[in-house]
This record gives sequence, structure tokens and C-alpha cells, in this order.
Amino acid sequence: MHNRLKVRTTEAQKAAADREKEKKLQLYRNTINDVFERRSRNEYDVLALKSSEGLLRSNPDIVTIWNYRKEILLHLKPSEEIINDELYLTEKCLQVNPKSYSAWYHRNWLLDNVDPSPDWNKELQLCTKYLKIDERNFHCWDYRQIVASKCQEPNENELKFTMEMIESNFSNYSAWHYRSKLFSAAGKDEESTKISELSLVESAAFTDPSDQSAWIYQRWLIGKLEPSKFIYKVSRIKNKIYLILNRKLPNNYKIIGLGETNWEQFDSKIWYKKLDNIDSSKIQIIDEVNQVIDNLSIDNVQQNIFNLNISEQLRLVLNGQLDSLHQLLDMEPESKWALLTYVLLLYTLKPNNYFKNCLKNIKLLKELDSKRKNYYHDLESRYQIEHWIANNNNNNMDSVNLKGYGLTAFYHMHMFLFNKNIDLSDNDLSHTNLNHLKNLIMCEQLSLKNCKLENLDNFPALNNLEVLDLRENKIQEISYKELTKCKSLKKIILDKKQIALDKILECINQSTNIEIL
Amino acid sequence: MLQKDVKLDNTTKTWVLKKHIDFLQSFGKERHQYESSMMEFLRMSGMYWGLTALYLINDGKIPKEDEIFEYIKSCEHSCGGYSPAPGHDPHLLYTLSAVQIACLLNRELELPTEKIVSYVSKLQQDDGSFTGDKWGEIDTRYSFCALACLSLLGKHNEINLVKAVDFIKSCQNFDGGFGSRPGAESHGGLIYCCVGSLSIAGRLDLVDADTLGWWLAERQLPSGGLNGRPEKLPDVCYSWWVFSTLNILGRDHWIDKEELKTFILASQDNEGGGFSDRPGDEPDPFHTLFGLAALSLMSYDNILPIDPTYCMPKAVINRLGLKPQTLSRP
Repeated sequence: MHNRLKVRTTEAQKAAADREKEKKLQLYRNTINDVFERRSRNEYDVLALKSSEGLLRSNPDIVTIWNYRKEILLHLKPSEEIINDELYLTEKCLQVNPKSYSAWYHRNWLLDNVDPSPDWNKELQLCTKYLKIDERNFHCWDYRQIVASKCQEPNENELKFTMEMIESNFSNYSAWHYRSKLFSAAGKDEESTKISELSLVESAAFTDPSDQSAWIYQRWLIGKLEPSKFIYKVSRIKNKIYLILNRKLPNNYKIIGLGETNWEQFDSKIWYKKLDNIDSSKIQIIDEVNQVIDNLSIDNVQQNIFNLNISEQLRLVLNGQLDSLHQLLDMEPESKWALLTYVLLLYTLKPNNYFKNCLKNIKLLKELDSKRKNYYHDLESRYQIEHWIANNNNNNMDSVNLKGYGLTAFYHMHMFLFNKNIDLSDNDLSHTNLNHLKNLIMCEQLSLKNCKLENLDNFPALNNLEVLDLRENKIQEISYKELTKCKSLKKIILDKKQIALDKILECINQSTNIEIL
Repeated sequence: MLQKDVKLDNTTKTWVLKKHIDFLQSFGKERHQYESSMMEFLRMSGMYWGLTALYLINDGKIPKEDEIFEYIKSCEHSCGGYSPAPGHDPHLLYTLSAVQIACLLNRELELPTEKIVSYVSKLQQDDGSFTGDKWGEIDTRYSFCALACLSLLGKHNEINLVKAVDFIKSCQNFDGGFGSRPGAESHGGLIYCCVGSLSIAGRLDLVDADTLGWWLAERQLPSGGLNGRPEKLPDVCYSWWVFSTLNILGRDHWIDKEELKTFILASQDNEGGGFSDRPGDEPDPFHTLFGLAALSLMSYDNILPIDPTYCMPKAVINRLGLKPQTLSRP
């Protein structure tokens, strides 16, 4: 039951209500039994149609009754009048329950399967009428898409309709959603569409900064920008070459170069191949028409891997939005949506001092929008790790130092696949993050000192790991058994507070030593 | 614009476990005859909601097991599908509910597996989608019904899984969410169905977990309750659809669980037991299950653990040897 307020009643009221219910129940049973009996007698006539109308008008969700009507209609080869009556019935039922899946579907089915000349244009008008009454009814929006494609309504007109809906109320998320679909379907010139949509969404968001519809749409428009590069690093390990990407490769893209053996996938963003006759030192990524999308020479690193592909024109527009947001925040410093969008735009455009500014504002967001503070913690962690990667050339022999960044999440850990020495100490982790360490396959020394760990569940099998620092955590002794998966582990560093040493010793390999510091 | 939400009064509601058990056990008894008859068109699902809820708070005990199993049998059709009640037509929705109840009773082996498999697989279309019954309505809810139902019987390889997954992928939207069909708007309930299907199929790699997780986290309103779409009212059932999806995606820490608990507890009927859609409304088994299930995911009181993909007791899912995929925290 949705939206049915519980009311207090007296005994007398209750008795009256019970009598009323009993009457209704009797009527319902008589009617439905009558309809089922007709069906069992194979009655497929107008009378049978009439017999179930009242039932559906009071409860449009009884699917079986709609099914019986479908059988009758297929049998009857009905006149225009009967079809119109049936359409009218669905309308009446939708007035009773505008969210009735079965009433919506019956209408659609009728026009598709029974009506010899369905008037889809009239249907489109009906959708418009209904959406003006209930602007967020997703059943009607979804039906509208079916109808619009049936009557081949041009996308332009549908865009115009969404615009009217948005103009009458900016907070119409359904309309924003439909725009996103219409643009993708039209394959419209991405750049100009994006720019015009950005300006539309800006005026909407500024009109009511607390409404999330326009802001979510804007985040999508900004988020659609992709990094121009794919390849972060190419390097040799023994007789294999590993290729580290910053994101998944689209299905129709290919990797070529460095000999004839095929590239195989290790993980969604890690590829490798056997080292054979190297015919060039370059790896290329090509698209479906063999155009080179990205390339890198072996033993190289692409530090600017997270820089986005933004045209000058778009940059101009986005810079304008950044300024407007700044002004909006001057007037309404507590507008969470404006602040979040400001952070996203800063991170996208990377003006001077952007990083410090981002961190400062994420801190504010954690306070302003405390329900989602852990989301902001994780977002900050991603930014911190990306910033480290962009500012370190990360040769294989270098150590990775992500100590004390307040990390709550691990992003891009696969980019440290070649590193032997990794320091992740003084962060705010949980055992549920630990399986992201699985790609640290060359790591020999790892520090998780003071990371608030309570157990080691999900700790991956790191075959080259020799030394693991676990000081200043409160890890359950029993979970040390996870470490037996790490076959080369020689030393675990603990501190004096981790007292039940004998219990820990029972859980680990005999070849592993414990050092107390 | 005023944000759509409800206001909770400051009195914290006490947890009335015993009353919830009474409320759930009262269904099928005289006192609910009216509701039960008027709602017979969905009774099989109604029983799944009520019995699963009862299992969670009644130490896994379900009364009148034989009677319940007889009821399922009385709704069996020769095509292999199940109807909500005798006399009604079979449908995928109630076929899933029937299989779920049989699993709760540990009697799924007594069902005609081959026939059910045949019924479900015939409803798959060329594009991988599923219709709810022979009349052709397509919806991602039915994709979930098909995958959940067959995997509970250990038979999900009998349909075209690759195509089923492709169809779900085609329903993905700009916000990372999913709708009922390609092009349809994202909605908490349908997102659960799609992410749940991908979890069963082991293809959560197709989800943009950060984008969708953030959108889902934004469903939490100042009252602590969750809505199913932007600018809508909170509802206890989204405490399940949205929160379980966040859990599957390893991002349930992106909302405030304490405040969600407060909202769900405020939606209890402290007099007669049960939960309603939001504080002050009439309780029903549907919201009672989804309220309790969400509390279970947050390890509240001694509610038995629930599986976020199947919305069934974890013990049952483990007994069946199922391991639906979940993602770890970022």
C-alpha cells in the first residue's frame, strides 16, 4: 500500500467499515467468479467484455482479467467502436492508478495487435496531456518513447517538448533524462550540443540551486570528457611485456606493436604478451578504422595520463561556468550542489592552485553534506592518488610513497604493478579495500602501518611480497592466516601492542619471521 | 523549491519485534480476508514477502509449511509457470515467487524443474529481453525474475545469458542507472533488478559503480529515508532497492546508515506491528519485508542475514551453493 494514511477509528466506525468491506468483498467475489466462469465456457463476446469492466475500473492491476479481454478482442475482430471503448477503459483505469503497468501495457498491446489503423499521433497528444498533469510519471514517459518512434516523431520535436516541460519546471529529471537519450540517438555534433546543453543547464541550476535534477545532468556533461591518453606505462618483467592502461579499452580498439604474439588481458586495464622478436619499440592503440589513438615506447611512462581532451571552445565555456559558480558560492556559500560542481570543474580544468582548492572545498562538502561524507572521502582519495601519479615519473625502481594521505579508497592501484617498494602507511583503510592490492604483483616491501585495519580478509596472494609492515593496527590474530597465500613472505613487522604473538605464529607460515619494533 | 521529504517526529520509535512477528503471522487468517481477496492477483508474491520477512525475525521458522507448499502446487500450470492464485494466469513474477518460497521451505527439488526452465526460457526474446508472460510485455524486472528463478534452481545456463546481459546493458542511462527498457528513465527498483541480474550473471564489470553509486547515495533525504528517483518522496521499499544495490556495488558506506535505520524504524506500526511506506501510513507485508531486509543488511538486532542480490535469507542462498557477485569498496 502506498500513501495510505493510517487513521484512528472508533469501534462504531470500525464496525461500519467492516460491513462496507464485507459488501465490497462479496461484490468482488461474485464478479470475478462470473468472469472466470465465462472464460471457462469460452465466451468471447461483447457481453463478456462488459462483465469485467467494473472489476478493472476498481482494480486495474488484475492482469488475468486483461488477458481474458485480450483473448476476446483477438476473437471478435472488433469494430472501431469496441476498440474505442477499450481505449477509453484503459484511460479510466489509468485515472484510478496512473502507475498501473497492466493498464499501460493493455493500451499499447491493443494498438499494436487489434487496432487496424492505430492513431499514434493521438497517442502522442494523450501522453502530452498526461505528462502535463503528472510530469514525472515514468510509465507515461516510457510509453511516450514507444509512441514517438511509432509515429516517427522527429527528435527535434521531442527535444522541443522536453524543453517546454523543463521551462515550466526545471526540476523535471524525467525530461532531462529524455534529452540525454535524444542526443545520443541523434548522434548530434557532440561539441555544439554539449555547449548549448551546458548553458541551458546552467540557467536551470542557478534558478534553483537546491534542485538536483539539473546538477546531475551537468555532472554527466562534464564527466563525458575523456582523457586523451590510454597508455600509462609499458614495461618488461622477465620474459613478458606488460601494458598498463588508465581505462578499459573499447571493444573495437586494438593494441599493435612489439612483435607478432597476441596481447592477452590480465585484468581490465592490464595487458601482457610474451617477449618475442621486437619489430619496433612502440606500442600503438588503434581504433576500428586503424587510426592511431595513442602510442608509447617501451619502458616509458605517460605522466599526464589523467589530462582531459577539451577543445579551446569548450574550455572557454567551462571557464565561464567556473566563474559563475564562484559568484553563486559567494552569495550562497552553503549550496552543496554548487560547491560539488565547482570542485568537479576545478578538477576538470586544472587552473593554477586547483588541487589545494579542490581539497579545501571537499573538506567543506564533508561538513555540509555529512550524510555522504564517506563518498567525499573516497573522491578525495581518488584525487590524491591521481595527483601523485601525475607528479611522479614512477620508474619501476622508485618507491611509491602514499603515506599519510588519509586515503579511504584505492584507485588506480594497477598503475603500481611494477613497483617493488610501496608505502601506504598512515591511511584510513578497511579490510574491504585490501583486494585492490592484487595487482601489486612485483611488490616486495609493503607498509600498511597505522591503517586502521581490523582484519586481513581479502588480502591478495602477492607472490613477490617479502616484508609486510602491519604495525599500529588492531588486527584479529586469526586473520593472519590470509598471509599464508603470500609464498615469499619472509618478515612481518609488528609492534609490542599486538600481544597475542603465539596466536599469530600459529596462523602464519613457518618460514615467515615476526619482527617486533 | 521545497525538497520533497517527510519530517520525523523526535520520539525514537522502539523496536517492536514481537508485534512484527504477530503482524506477519496474522496473514492468511480471518482478520485479513478482505485484503487477501482483493490482492489475490499478487498473492504468491505477497506470501514470499510475508514468509521471507517472518523467516528473518522468527529464527528461520515458517509455520504451516505443508499448507504453503500445497498452495504453490495449486498455482502450478501445465506450461511450467505459476499464477498468483488459483484461477489466475501464470506469470514470471509469480513463478519467481513460487520458486523463492519453495527454496525457503527447502523443497525446491519437489518442483518440476524442467518445466519451469522451459517456461522461463521460452519467454526470452531475440534481443535477450524477457516478457512477463505470453502477452509480450517486456521489462527488465522480468530479466531479473528469469535469472533469479533459474539460478535458484541451478539452471541459469539454460537461457542465453550473453544476450540477457546485452539487453540489460542496453537499458543503461547517463546517470549510470537502469530503466525498464532501452531509453527508459533510471529508477531505484529497476536498478536493483538490473544490477541484481548482472550480479547473478557475474558481469558487474558492466556497471559504472562510482557514477551509479553516487546517484544512489543522492537518494538519501534529510529524513534519512531513501527515494527511488530525484525529487521524489522517501519510501521504505527503496531502503531495500537502493541500499541493497549500494551494498552489491561495495558502496553502502556512501550514505548515512544510522539515519536510514532511524527512518525505517519510524515507519514501524508500533501498535499492530509491520512497516509502512513512510511514517504514519498503513503497514503491509511488502514494506515489512523490505524494511526488515534493509535492517538486516545493516546487522540490526538479531535479524537473520539477508543476501543483497536475491532478497532471501543468506542461509538459504548458501545452502543452494549460490555465490552472486558483489564488488569490493573502491
